[in-house]
Amino acid sequence: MIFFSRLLVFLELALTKSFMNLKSEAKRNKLSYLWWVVEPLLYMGIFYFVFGVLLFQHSTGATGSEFVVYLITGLVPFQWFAKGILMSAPSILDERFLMQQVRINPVFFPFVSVLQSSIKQVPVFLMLVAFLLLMGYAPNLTWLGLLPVFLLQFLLMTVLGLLVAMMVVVVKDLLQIIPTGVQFLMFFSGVFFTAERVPVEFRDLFFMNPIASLLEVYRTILMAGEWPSWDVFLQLVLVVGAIAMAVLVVYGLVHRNLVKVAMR
Amino acid sequence: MSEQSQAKVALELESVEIRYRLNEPIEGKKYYKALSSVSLSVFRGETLGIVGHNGAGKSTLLKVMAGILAPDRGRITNHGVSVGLLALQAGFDDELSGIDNIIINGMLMGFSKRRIKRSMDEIIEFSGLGEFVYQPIKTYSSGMRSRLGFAVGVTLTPDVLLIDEVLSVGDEDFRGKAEQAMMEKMHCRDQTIVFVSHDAAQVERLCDRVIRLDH
Repeated sequence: MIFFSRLLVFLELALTKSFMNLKSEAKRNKLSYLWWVVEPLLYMGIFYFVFGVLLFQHSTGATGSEFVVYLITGLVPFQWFAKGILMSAPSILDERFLMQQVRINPVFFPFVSVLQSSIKQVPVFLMLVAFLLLMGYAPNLTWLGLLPVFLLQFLLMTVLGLLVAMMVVVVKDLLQIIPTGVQFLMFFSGVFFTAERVPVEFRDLFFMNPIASLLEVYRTILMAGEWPSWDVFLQLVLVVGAIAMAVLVVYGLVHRNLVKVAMR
Repeated sequence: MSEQSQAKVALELESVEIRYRLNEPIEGKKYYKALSSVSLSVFRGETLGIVGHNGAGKSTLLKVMAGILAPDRGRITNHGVSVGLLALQAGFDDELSGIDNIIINGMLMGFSKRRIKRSMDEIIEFSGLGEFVYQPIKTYSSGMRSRLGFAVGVTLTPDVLLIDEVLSVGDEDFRGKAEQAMMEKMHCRDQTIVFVSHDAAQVERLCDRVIRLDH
């Protein structure tokens, strides 16, 4: 009972802080909340131009319009993941002075980062839906399968966000290489190419990357209009669950000293 | 300790030790002991003063009591009370209005949004900011910011309030008001206060009981 009331207080604070941070961020810019739509549109436009028009369009075996859909259905969830992780990475370190003033669980900071990036991604996903409708993909019941996929991705982002945020507290230099790591993941997750194009000997390794599996599931639902294979989904749940357990064990070992280490 | 006094205990520290790892060893030692074997009890309703010279570990002791730092050795027992540092301006965001900052500051101190909204009028009145409370705090003077922070801290108080030498805020008028409000808290039977200062005379004057930290 006490656990649930504490959890509710934690969630209320996290939600309020996320919305306040977004409000503060919007107030800093002339275009305010419009950036939530403009920035991802620009980002996707650049990727489409470079990889869709200049480079890959004919090498994927897909037709032009199919490739655009393929690219966008991969880019939107990946962008969500990348932003969440990049925002989480410095989150505990940046708030070390606040952690000296109030008693607050260090999980709070990466969690707020992930929540914030998730709220910002809502209009982008709506744009993706509008785009799919425009391209002739009719919504169907299988789209309901997106809900557990969203939840799974959110959980994965939260635990990975916590992991990188804790690692950055201990080794600050990691902040320099995390963006490169995220970029590497983007090229290793099948945003621009299908799994069939990965050499057979590397395919198992490719799908050990949970982001690659997630993108595959998104595309199965949105493009093929099919329910994701239960085997793939279960495997994904197990991988994310194992990562979550491992991160929680690390957190259990280090969380008592995080405030002190962050101040060093 | 008798059963009666045990019932009145709010916080209990037993042989608490806090160590900090040094970036560079000093005289061959890799750690610095900020607190060494500290044992004390805080009783409900009292104003406990803690004095000691600079570096004696007074602020560290408050952080242990607040649950911000976990003891490396020893134990702290909380007998069912809420504890918080008077964290002036914690989490303040320049782009947001005074109202939004009151909410965030209060929630970071452990209060629900509903509880904060109930006290909103009182906080605004105490701060004396009037209509400015709807403006982003980047437009405030440092005195106005301090007043807002103190107004939240003095209105939303946990069962055990931990104060770290922050009784002088704002201009002369506001300082008088702040000190009076704090005195009222100190004389309130339901409010437990732990007050840390290097000013022994001030502590003697304000507190029911004084503990000296030596290091």
